[in-house]
Amino acid sequence: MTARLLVVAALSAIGCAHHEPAAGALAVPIATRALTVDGAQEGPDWNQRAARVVLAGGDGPARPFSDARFLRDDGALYVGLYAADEDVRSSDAFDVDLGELALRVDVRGRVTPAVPGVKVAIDVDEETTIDRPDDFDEEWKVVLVVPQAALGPHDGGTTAHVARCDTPKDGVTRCGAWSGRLALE
Amino acid sequence: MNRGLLVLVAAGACRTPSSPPPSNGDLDARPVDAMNPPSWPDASASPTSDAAVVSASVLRFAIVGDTRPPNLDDTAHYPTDIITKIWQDVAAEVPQPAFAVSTGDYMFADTGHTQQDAQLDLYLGARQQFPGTVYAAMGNHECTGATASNCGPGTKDGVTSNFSAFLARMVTPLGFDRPWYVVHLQDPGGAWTAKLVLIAANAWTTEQATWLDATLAEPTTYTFVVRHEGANATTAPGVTPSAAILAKHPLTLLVVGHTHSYAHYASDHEVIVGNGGAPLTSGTNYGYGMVERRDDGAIKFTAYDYQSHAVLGTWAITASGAPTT
Repeated sequence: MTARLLVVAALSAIGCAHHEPAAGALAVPIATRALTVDGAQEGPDWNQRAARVVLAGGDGPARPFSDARFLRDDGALYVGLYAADEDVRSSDAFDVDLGELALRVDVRGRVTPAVPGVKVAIDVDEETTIDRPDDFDEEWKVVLVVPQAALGPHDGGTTAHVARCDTPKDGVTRCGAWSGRLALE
Repeated sequence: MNRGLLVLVAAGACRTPSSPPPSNGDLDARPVDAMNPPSWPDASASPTSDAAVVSASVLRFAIVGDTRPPNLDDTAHYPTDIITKIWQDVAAEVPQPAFAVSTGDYMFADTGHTQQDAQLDLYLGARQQFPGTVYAAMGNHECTGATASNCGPGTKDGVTSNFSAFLARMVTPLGFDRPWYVVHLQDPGGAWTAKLVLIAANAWTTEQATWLDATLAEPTTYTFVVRHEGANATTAPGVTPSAAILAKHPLTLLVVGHTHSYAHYASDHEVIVGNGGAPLTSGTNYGYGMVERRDDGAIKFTAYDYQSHAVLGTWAITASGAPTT
């Protein structure tokens, strides 16, 4: 059972960049059905169809673990983010850059800066206790919906960068990231 | 497998399985559609939660825990490579352990959908790398997925498809019909005895509580208890009541998972081995644990990195669980 938080970002103007599609770009599939924006990333589109990357840190997958999944429809890019986290803090966040659109999405569902049409939903297990270091948490998830128009003229492709830092109970801050290009056609 | 170290012996009132515990290959060969839906035996029948005595000249076993994909029904991203390597590592231990325990959570499956067996296929396929017997504890994902869930006949969540698949494929083949059970071990020379007690905190009933109290009252040199959730996961129905029962009896070590990491809490006699492929929640890498009785009678624990075989942590305790050098 999960408690889900849906936050629709307020309006703001952000500049966008123009990018050419590149060989080796990560092809972002079109969802086969309307996606439920609840943060949980459930269903065959998210599990089997989405383009998926694992954030890297050091010499391998980041620890704590994070991944990012990408889907699209005619109007929007859907970014699913997963964060394994033994001690969820309200300051925990992902940094998501899409072209020149640079967003920070935190575990409370706040998106900064606010961008017109951007939506975010957070999926936090009901047993997760935010800002309670005396117990063990497990994970939190994000679905970020970005209108393709907000990416600017992208000619079917855009740069992408997803990063997250976390400080587990050992007090050591560790970061993971993925950078690449997304093909949107 | 070092079969020479593992012999089944009928023992008193303990149930003797109709056949020896199968190899992992036997477990995997069991056809899914031949499994009966789980239901407890009639009240008049003896529950099958007690194993025969395992006679072992050395006390040495592996611990592997928590193996699931990040998302619900996310079978495409099941951590098959990781858990396969972990079981290969366990099999490569010298001497090879005769058995292992797993701390629960082998799936992340919607109880209303059909991914349970597909994910258990991947897990049990990986587990075939290790030829020894594996005593599997039940995790919350073998109930509904919620830590607070409680499964089994007569419980609030009942017999879910996750519960049925786990019981049929990972417990019943061992000769048990409950997700809680005990394995008795003894040195053929009489130097020591041990019991391996598997608690199902997500299938908690008064029957299990009564069984646990009686089982822990049986005197042995060593008592190892395996329960999926650690001491602070108190929303699991069986954590607080089983802790109260454990407090009444001698305890060498409480082995848990649930948290996707490795950690040792000496004051609680608790070790977390939950880094078996589920998304890591800390900076510790995937791996497994090894328990071994030393010649001086102390129990040595070592946690290993699954890729480098680097030691993630090592420590020793006495039979009473007290730290020792």
